[in-house]
Amino acid sequence: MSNLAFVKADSLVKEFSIKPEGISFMRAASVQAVSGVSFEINRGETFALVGESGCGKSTIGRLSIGLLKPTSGSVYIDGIELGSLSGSDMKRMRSKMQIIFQDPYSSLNPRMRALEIVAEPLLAHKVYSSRAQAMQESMHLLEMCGISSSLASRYAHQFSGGQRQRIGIARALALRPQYIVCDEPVSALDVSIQSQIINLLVELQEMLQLSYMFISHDLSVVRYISDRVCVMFLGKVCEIGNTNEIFGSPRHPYTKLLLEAVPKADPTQRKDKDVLLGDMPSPINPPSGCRFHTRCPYKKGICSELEPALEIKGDRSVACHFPFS
Amino acid sequence: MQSVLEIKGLTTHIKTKAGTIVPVNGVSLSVLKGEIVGIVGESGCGKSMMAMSVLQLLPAAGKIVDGQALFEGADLLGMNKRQMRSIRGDKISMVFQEPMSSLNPTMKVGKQVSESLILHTKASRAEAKERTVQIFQEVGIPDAQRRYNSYPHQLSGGLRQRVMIGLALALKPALMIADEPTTALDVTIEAQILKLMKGMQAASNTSIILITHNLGIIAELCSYVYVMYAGQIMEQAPVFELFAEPKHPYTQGLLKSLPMLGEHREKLHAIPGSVPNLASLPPGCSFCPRCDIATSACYTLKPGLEKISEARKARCLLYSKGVAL
Ligand SMILES: Nc1ncnc2c1ncn2[C@@H]1O[C@H](COP(=O)(O)OP(=O)(O)OP(=O)(O)O)[C@@H](O)[C@H]1O
Ligand SMILES: Nc1ncnc2c1ncn2[C@@H]1O[C@H](COP(=O)(O)OP(=O)(O)OP(=O)(O)O)[C@@H](O)[C@H]1O
Ligand SMILES: [Mg+2]
Ligand SMILES: [Mg+2]
Repeated sequence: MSNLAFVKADSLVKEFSIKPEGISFMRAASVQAVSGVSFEINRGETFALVGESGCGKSTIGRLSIGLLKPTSGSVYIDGIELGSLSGSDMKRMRSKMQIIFQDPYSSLNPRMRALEIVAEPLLAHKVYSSRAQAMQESMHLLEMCGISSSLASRYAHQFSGGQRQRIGIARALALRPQYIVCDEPVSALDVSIQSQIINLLVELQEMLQLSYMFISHDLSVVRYISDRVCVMFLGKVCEIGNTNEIFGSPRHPYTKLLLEAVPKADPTQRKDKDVLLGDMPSPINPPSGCRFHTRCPYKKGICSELEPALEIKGDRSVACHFPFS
Repeated sequence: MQSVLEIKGLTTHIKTKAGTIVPVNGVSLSVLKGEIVGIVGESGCGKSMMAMSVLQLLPAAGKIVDGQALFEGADLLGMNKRQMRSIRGDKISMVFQEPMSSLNPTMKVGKQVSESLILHTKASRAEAKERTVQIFQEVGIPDAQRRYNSYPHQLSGGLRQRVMIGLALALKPALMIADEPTTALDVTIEAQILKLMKGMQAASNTSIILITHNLGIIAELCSYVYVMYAGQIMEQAPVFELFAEPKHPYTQGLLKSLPMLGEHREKLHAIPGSVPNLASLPPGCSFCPRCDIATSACYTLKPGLEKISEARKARCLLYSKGVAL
């Protein structure tokens, strides 16, 4: 399996330094956004990252395509370690990897027409010898993503949110990437538009054999789209494995409570649920032992003292002293 | 049963650069004592403008042009500013998506709640403070005594929303209007807030209008639902009936397009097109350009909101003869 993996992340750590504003005598503090995360993504696979705000999902997404450098640990794409690449090799490698963001409004240049937005990476990387060819390819990509040629000369602000996300996807596909990080690609969209974009992502994946990292806080969407999932809490992996297995029988208490917290669109399934108590602990000053213990209803003495290791069993791993079986 | 709020034929106009739009177009709804009523719809369909109209909090460009909002027998729309202010503090309270915008950033949160108690209940300073700490405990703010002295920016989003709900419920209002109260929060915090609202409604028999785009929240909390589209109610029904058998093609499409946590769906249904622009609505049924089963009549006749069974109504030519344009 590991020699098949297209993306491999090994013990990624990312620290950010945060300087308290205007307080010069205080030492700069640092926040560990990602604390030793490893995973693999196979070709043609969708690997999802879920967890609450600030747990490190976007940071991992950016590390995985070399937009951020890890404090320690490494990322391999197709067997090549990103950290070892020179500037020009990195540039070539970059074209294999793309990212799509949540906000289709701010990620597109408002002064450009849809056709130009999608053609830009083709022109920048001199993929075609003539401008006309680049434009023709751009038109093709837009149509593949559901923007008809009659709309291609409109400016970004003349499109709806869903259409802008389609343009963002067409642009991401321009350099024929093999790996795309989708960072909350449908979170800003209305329900009726979300399913259009999800269907498009799935179709494109089948057609082009893409590998996706799909970042989302919407567990229903993750369940639908992903093959494997990694549940994170405060920079650490709680549980990682096959999506159907993890959603069907979560082993980590956090996964279980997260799944229970999702409001179900079926009133016959109403029940009085146990809600997860407390607030998110601060990443600047994470709890001792298991990072989840301050919120965990099942905690025992050891949980506040010793950090649980990620126990690997086949394709399924869990980091908990007392996992559900 | 007795209704607390009865909105009849509410119509609101907003002047925009693109002309006058009608975000609230003849909306009628009623809220019974102790009931949680849901209003669901996609962005821009007029949910917030409807609430703002009832509370006389419309933006300067907005104007109520028709209708009534009977609260305990008196028409809110006919009240002057002073009468309205007293009703808003006392008998109807509001919770918004972003609590930061409704809390005073320069005043300690405890003080904000106790001032309101002093103003509306003639409590003494000491009584108000004691009652505030008690309310903070009731809404699950840990360390309530200490949090009394926090400023809004020192609290997490979830805690701020608890303060807002505490403030909203301090005066035991007859009605609470909650506009996307959990949209900005993580799912485990959302579950806490929803449980809190449900508990409060059960304990003090407060009626709640819950505005959301999340059908899961509707299914978990509400007893009766109004589905809004382009300024109009498209369908209304008791919650169990709506989810078991949606009658309007729009509601049917929305429910089919949701990925579900508990089941795997082969391909998601997608409602084609985009969320309508109120400045350029089609003649006839406003949903027909996106409707699977639209006929040519749908483009030329306006469907009325017709009664289809004891407690249900729908606005579709399937159930209505329609009015020629
Ligand atoms: N450039 C930065 N400088 C300092 N801290 C940062 C920076 N980027 C991220 N962080 C911090 O790292 C942590 C992880 O952030 P990240 O954006 O990866 O979380 P996330 O899981 O994507 O959250 P969300 O769901 O809100 O998007 C947070 O505590 C965040 O404040
Ligand atoms: N201050 C304003 N000036 C002009 N138009 C406005 C203003 N506020 C809202 N609108 C328009 O009124 C319509 C209804 O807006 P409203 O905020 O009620 O929608 P909503 O259903 O609450 O949407 P959301 O789910 O995004 O909160 C929209 O088309 C919006 O663009
Ligand atoms: Mg993020
Ligand atoms: Mg709104």
